[in-house]
Amino acid sequence: MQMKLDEYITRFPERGEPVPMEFAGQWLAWNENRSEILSHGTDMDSVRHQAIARGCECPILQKVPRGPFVGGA
Amino acid sequence: MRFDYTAILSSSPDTGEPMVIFRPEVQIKVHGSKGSGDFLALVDTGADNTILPESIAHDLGITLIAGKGPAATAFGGQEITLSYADVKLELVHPDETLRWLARVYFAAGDADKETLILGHQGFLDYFTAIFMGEDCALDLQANAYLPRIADKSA
Repeated sequence: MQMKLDEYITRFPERGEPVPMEFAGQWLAWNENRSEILSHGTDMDSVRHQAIARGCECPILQKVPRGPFVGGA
Repeated sequence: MRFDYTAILSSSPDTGEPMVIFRPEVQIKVHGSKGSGDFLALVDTGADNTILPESIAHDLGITLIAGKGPAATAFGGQEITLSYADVKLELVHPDETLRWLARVYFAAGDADKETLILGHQGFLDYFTAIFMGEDCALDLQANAYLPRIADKSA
């Protein structure tokens, strides 16, 4: 499923904003309720520890694809 | 257990326009000897195995065993060398947390291409999964084959 941003906002107003394009290819560390991105970068370990240093004991890590994903290539 | 797909702003492959793409990702907690970590991982019905980046194993102190079988083959034919371990996984949901011991494969390689895949072995074999395209959400119900482990076990 893909849709334009305005359609997403209309159809799913209760969901958070989509991950911004600037994070493509990076690891993100979210806070525990996934409302805020605490740190980001290309190295998972450092992203995780930066988030912990910001006071989040259990950050949730997400690897953002660079574009549409078609398998583990 | 219902999981909303994650939403990522990307570019349409045909027009290049900004588009929101949806991914059936769920939150899993991975346990190792040095602690645990929470990750969003893609539920992938096309993947035979559950495959995580080796960086996770290194960070969490998971001891890996070199695979003796053939390398995994990704879309496009790229071969991926895998090692493996039996790992305690948790599926995290506000209503319920499920824990089990899973054979998880770990992929070495380019950090830029790291991805987290929940495939059949270790994950989908233990669930009935309904992908609700219209709602952009995934429903997972554990089946009788889920090898549950007690809350406090290592």
